[in-house]
Amino acid sequence: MEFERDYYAILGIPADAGERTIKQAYRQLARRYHPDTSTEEAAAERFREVQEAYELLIDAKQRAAYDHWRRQQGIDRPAPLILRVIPSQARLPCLGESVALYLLIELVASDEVECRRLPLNLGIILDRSTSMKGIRLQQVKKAARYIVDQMGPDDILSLVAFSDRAQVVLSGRPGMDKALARSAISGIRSGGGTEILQGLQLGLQEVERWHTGDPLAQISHLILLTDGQTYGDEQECIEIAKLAGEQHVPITTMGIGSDWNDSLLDQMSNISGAPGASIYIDSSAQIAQAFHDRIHSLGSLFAYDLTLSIHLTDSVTLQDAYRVAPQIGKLEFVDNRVFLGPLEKRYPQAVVLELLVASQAPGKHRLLQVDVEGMVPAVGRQPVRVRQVLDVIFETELERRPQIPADIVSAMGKLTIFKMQERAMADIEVGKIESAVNRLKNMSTRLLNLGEVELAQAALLEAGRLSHAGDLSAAGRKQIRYGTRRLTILPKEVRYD
Amino acid sequence: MIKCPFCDSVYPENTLFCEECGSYLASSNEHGTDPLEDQVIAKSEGDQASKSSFMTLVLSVDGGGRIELPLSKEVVLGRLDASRASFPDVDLSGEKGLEKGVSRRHARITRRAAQVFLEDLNSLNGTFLNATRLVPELPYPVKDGDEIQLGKLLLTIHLK
Repeated sequence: MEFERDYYAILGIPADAGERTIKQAYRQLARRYHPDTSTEEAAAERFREVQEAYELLIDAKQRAAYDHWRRQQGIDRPAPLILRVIPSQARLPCLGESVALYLLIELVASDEVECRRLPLNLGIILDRSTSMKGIRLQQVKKAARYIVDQMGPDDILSLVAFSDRAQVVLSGRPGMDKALARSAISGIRSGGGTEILQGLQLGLQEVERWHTGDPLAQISHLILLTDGQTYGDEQECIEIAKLAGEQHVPITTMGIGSDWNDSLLDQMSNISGAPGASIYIDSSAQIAQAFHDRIHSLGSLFAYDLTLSIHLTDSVTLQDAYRVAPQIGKLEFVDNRVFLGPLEKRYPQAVVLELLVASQAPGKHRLLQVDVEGMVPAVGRQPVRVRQVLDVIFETELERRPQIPADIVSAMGKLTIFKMQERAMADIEVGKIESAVNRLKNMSTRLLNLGEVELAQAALLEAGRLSHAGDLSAAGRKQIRYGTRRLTILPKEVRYD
Repeated sequence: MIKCPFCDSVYPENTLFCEECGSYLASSNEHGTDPLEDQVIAKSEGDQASKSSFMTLVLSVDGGGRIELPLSKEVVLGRLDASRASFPDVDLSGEKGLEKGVSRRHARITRRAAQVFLEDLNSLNGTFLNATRLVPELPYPVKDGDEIQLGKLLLTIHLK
């Protein structure tokens, strides 16, 4: 059965109201809106609504059916997702020209709803090519053994190692023998080239064996770790990543050292439904930490398949949209919608919209409506929807310069650095070296102001290298690209324990 | 429309940051200094004058530019190098500092009451006062018209 209205709201009573309260509210409202006596606007329409609500709620059988439907829709529970829309200013001047307006959209998991840890179906794909030899492979094995220890009784772990061929080191099955798994990991030997496609195909196959396709009952995920370039199979890798995405198996990609193809790994993660889940590891000592963080973040996923949609009124144009937390990345809206991916319990997602607002007559104006939709396993199978609208007031004379929220200034400051980096990289692509050098130098100054000394040094060093040698170093390029991505407004480290 | 004061890029009103050079654009009107009452200013000037005389340090680079700055507590001479977090008060990279062997933190000029001192900061190529090499980290008194040398860079010091 479908109900269109919130009947309790029509009568202005709580959902647990007794019969007396219902009757009382009905009598009062019926008198107020009676078409013969009322002078209020749309009284007849309101009267009909009140009548309808009363007839339904006073009938115990119908009311029970309606209450059941409400529970299914999740109407009376605390909202699991909290959506906040913060404008850079709520009052705008009537200047006769368009003004810039920034919107910080925050999406947070509610404290009142518990996070349910779903069983993992995890596939790990490890590069064992010759270049992994020594400390790198040792650290990777250590990290893999750590993951084995972290697996619960319902979790399934499979492990694939690849060079120019791929082999299954550990085949996933429920109730894994941990001792056997550890010894299988110790047996991985390095040798051979790097062909990511081989590993990816086999890894996906392994995960698919236990994959139910139900994102509310199981988290299927692939983690790919590599340290080298793959040649000739890039396009096919992206195809496989896309296929994985269609089957709800997102891929986290990790690159060690400086010789791997960062844009390929980026694309693979993005297309597989894990936007921004490509991780740069510059020394082998960080491998264990990266795996540790990833495993725990998968265990604290709160919501899935979040999409953000915006409806702009005619006076507003969207200039640019970026995610600013958990990491910075550009968002491309298609038909006013964009995929945000999963939300962790402790890491909010935040998005910045850069808008251009045409001048309006003085008074209150609606600018836009923001909707977020997604699945929250803890509250059931009905998609959760949250909505916010934004109104601003246009004034002929602003009393004083409006205070811009500190979070927006901070987010935009960091986002600007990220954009300068993007532009510098784009300049290098088309051979505008001098312009790129200037951008890197400016970036370095801004980074220094933020206290990001290491990243500032890297940018300055690469600016010098670029002006002398005409190109960035492979390591510097990655350090800058991945370093500017983590300039978020969140506390830098959330510790998983 | 507003213009970035540093790189002249043009943006719509209320834009927060310049995307070319990263400057914060909304600050111009916000953090302006509030004028103080005349009396207050006059009084504080008098206070300072009675404690110690105001002094200006002028450094003339041999065959180069002239640098003039107030000598408050200390002035560090060296080369700007952001990547090593070196930010001296006087940056001599524009005076061929690197070629002439000036260290990032080369020397400093300090002042106690009316006396001015020059001190070498353990520089690689040394600091010279009137052609005598200074013992590192020991302040030497200097007077108006003295010649100092950082590495091979020659400067004349004037005090006003």
